[in-house]
Amino acid sequence: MVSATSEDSKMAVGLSEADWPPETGRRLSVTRRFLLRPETGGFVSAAVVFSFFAVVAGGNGFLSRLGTADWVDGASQLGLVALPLGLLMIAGEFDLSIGSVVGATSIIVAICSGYYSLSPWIGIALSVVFGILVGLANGLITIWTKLPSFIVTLSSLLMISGGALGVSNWLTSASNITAEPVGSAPGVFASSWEGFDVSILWWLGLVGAATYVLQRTSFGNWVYATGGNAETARLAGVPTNRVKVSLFVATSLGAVLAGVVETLTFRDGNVTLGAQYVFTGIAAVVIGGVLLAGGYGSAIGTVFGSITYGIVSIGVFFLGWNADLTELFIGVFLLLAVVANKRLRQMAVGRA
Amino acid sequence: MFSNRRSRMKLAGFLMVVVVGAAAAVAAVAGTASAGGAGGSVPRIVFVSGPLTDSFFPPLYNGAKQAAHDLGIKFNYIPINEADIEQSSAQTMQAAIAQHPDALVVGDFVTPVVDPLIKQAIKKGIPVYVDQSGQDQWQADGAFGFIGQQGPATGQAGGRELIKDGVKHALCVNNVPGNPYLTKICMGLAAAMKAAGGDSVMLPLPTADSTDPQKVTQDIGAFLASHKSIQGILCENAAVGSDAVTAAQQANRKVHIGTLALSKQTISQLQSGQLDFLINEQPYLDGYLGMLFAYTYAKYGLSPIGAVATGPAIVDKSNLAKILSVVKKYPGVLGST
Repeated sequence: MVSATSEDSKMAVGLSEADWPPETGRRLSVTRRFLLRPETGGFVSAAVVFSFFAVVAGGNGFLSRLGTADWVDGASQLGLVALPLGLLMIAGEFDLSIGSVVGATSIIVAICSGYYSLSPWIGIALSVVFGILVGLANGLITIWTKLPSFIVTLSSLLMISGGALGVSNWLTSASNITAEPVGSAPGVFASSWEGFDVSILWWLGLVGAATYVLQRTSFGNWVYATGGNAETARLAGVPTNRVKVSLFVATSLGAVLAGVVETLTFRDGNVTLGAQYVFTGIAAVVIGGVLLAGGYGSAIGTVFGSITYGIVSIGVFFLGWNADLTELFIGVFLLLAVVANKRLRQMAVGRA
Repeated sequence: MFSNRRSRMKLAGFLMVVVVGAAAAVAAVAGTASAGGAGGSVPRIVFVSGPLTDSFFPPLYNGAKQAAHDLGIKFNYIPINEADIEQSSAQTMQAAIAQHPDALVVGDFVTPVVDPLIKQAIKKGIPVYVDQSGQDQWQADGAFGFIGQQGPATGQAGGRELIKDGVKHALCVNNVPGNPYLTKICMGLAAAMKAAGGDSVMLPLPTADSTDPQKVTQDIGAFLASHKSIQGILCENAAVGSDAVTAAQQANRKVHIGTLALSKQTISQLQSGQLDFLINEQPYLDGYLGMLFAYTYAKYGLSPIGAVATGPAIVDKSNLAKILSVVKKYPGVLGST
């Protein structure tokens, strides 16, 4: 009998489900192949929480167009951050600085377009450069110092947060700046149709690109190999340093994109924007099936993880239960979703 | 794997729960699609207001809950997350609108985000009542009324109290610099001081510091040290008021301090003379009367005209005894315990 944990560790050394089971000569049923896919767990979590809220809160507007748009929009903004973060975590590293990169981006964009009345594209371009620099710094410092990326990005989180506040106060004497919506930028990043934001399109487009890269390119193989066992991968010729730095940059750029979308949507820049993503981003990635140890997971998994969190955090607003316990309910539902996810995986791999 | 009968049945059972859940969802939607809306027998009213972790809001929530209980209303309170206030303001309002309640009562903290959503709710036929914040926008948004305090009047009341204590140079501590209501309070104080021949200056606290008592105490202390002429301080929430008391003690300065919002700590500081006065915004009334007026408007089309003032009400040594007896007898009505 194969237990769930040894199954996971086999996956962790880079075997895909196509290689499993190795050399037994048995063909897997379609069901089992489906259940073994990395994103199935995230899908189950999303299905469980959606069913729950649909039954309990469906009559109260959760299933209406506006209610659906509410959680889908939230999931899309979280998803923009969770997607590259998920790839980075597959490669075995963490990035906590995403929380302050979103806020710093909103300060940059808001100051440029609101305080100095420049075109928002200038602020956006500056934010992209900023994001690339942050990603490079996170990646290179992690590699050179050999410190855990958790610690390195925790320090950059604090440095960026304090720096953004300082710059904002120095230039404008305020920590909250309104950003006027002018030109084409708000249309590209912040328009919506019937309540559904354009960020959904950005998100799905990037998910498609990420899935292609992970499944069809050698870079994708390198990502899994680096996460599975970086030393072995390096000896096998995988440029692990290049992989990690690229993914740190991609993660920061994901946070920049989320920051641009939110700043142009709310027409307001604030250092604290997006601070929650430090927790919710990692939650979405893990619910989506990426192992904390690295080496396993998929881009589509982060989609289901973001959807799960979006449904839970918005669904509680439709329950009408005791408001003192809102956060308690969110935590409980997330735990239930992840437990259902785990049970299903155990059932899938539990009986050989 | 599923050659074993038990595990097959376990999996089947599991998947059935998911499928049944989805089917029940469809049935629930079909069944209840006609219910709700103004024709329903039990009125449904949704509040979108501040988080219960902020000590100002539990009395508001308790007031609204009591009114809902007394009037037989189906009540849903959706708290805004102050840590992510813009996105949360948008998501909570959208959720409230999606429920299509008979009336919506909202605290308009982040006006650029919430005003368009108020207009959207009204366009959808949901009457909106603005509660506690949004003093200057509610009319333009089309809401049918406002309940709460006006910033300038509150600042003026604080100014009168400080002037009574002989203060000529005052400090106003603003703990949420982006909030227009709090800024107007400081402007009201400045107007009152100027009319009495004195002056007033505003200290905006960086939002990142405002919930950290140590930082607030340091910020106020540093300001007092560099501005020796300050004789009086007005604070805008209970926590900052307590921190100002600490800062004045540490700086060894004799200053007259008053603050908005009641709490166990500020009441005891008033008793011991460390605070000179409290300005009671009476959030319990914001909740109770907000619910009541939303109910009468949704059901009969009746409500008070214009803005209803629930403050400023001054609490000082002269009426402290009554306040204390209410706090003892009815916890959760006047302020945090």
